[in-house]
Amino acid sequence: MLLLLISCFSFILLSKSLSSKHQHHHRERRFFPPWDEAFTTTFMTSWFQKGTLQIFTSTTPLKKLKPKAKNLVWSSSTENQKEDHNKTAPSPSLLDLPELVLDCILDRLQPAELCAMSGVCSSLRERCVSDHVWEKRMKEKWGKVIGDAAYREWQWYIALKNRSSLLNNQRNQSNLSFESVAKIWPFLSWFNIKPRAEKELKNGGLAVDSIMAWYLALETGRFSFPAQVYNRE
Amino acid sequence: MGSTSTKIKLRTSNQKVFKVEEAVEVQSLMIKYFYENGCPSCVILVHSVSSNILSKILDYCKKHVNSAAGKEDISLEELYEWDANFVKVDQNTLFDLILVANCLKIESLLDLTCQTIANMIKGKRPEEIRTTFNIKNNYTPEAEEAVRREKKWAFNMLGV
Repeated sequence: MLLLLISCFSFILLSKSLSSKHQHHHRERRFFPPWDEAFTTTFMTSWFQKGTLQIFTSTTPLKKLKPKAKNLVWSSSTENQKEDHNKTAPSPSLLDLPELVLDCILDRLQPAELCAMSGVCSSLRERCVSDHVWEKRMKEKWGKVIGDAAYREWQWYIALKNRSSLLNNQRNQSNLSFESVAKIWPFLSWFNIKPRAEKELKNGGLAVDSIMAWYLALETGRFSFPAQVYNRE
Repeated sequence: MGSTSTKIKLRTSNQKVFKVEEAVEVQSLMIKYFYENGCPSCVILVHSVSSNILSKILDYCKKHVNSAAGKEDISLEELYEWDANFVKVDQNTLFDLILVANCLKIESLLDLTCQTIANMIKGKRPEEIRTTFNIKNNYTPEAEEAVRREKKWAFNMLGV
């Protein structure tokens, strides 16, 4: 049983990293031929749906994969076009738009507007706080200054923050909760199966290790790092 | 790939068949792909899209191809203005335009329409976005409160 569980977790992790890779590829290439990706994504979804592992994968990866797979097939077969169009016909909702289009729209929003969008509904929130939306903004604005050293500094900053909040927690309540243990021991965080966005909401805030948090911290100067400016003259 | 050799056709929901013109051929990656991958004579069904949407898209493609080729004497500013007028339509039409642009992979039109939606979002509060785009609020009251706090925090950060 334990062996089965371990193999499940590793597969879930693999699938998560695969799905995030797909997103990036997808954005770069924007367009076909997507057969190879379509195959893997549809295969994954069907695999997960068939098995009993559905509980573990919860909602996010499936949600993300499903429309994408549909989207990819959509460009190739005419039958699916019909389906998609019919869905949007009665009253156009932003959420009915294909995933790629929605990403296109979000890419054109300013940070403050993204924050406003995240208040609209949970699926939009998931998208608006996701790392891949913020990564682009981060690269655009800070990409030239930030390197590995700054990233390490940021990791230290997060770790210190986590530790101090943990100490505060301990002062407030003497018993160690599962969550606070998970904070010190990263492997335990694998057991948090809920999608991050949903988990954050329950905890009442944004994940400190998200790119959005990093971006906001940099913007406000809450986090700073030493940098050297070369005079090229 | 001249217009005379074109055999790909688009059929709309009201059974109107459009011959794919050279202008669309140039703009649409999708149709290019059909050509290059051995499907030069097929009918693509563009369901739930009325013929006037498709003719609007044809207009757009023609305008852009002609201006790029120098067939039409139009300055860049004038073209921008034409684009701005082109997307001054009701929301249903705009969404249809997006779907067709996405389906036929007309990049410039997709950019234009997405930017229009993004402009509609700008400066709106979540409640306003919900009503404008017909989105259901699926937050529980507690979750909504948490999101509001987070947004307030982020807004303070951004100095908005």
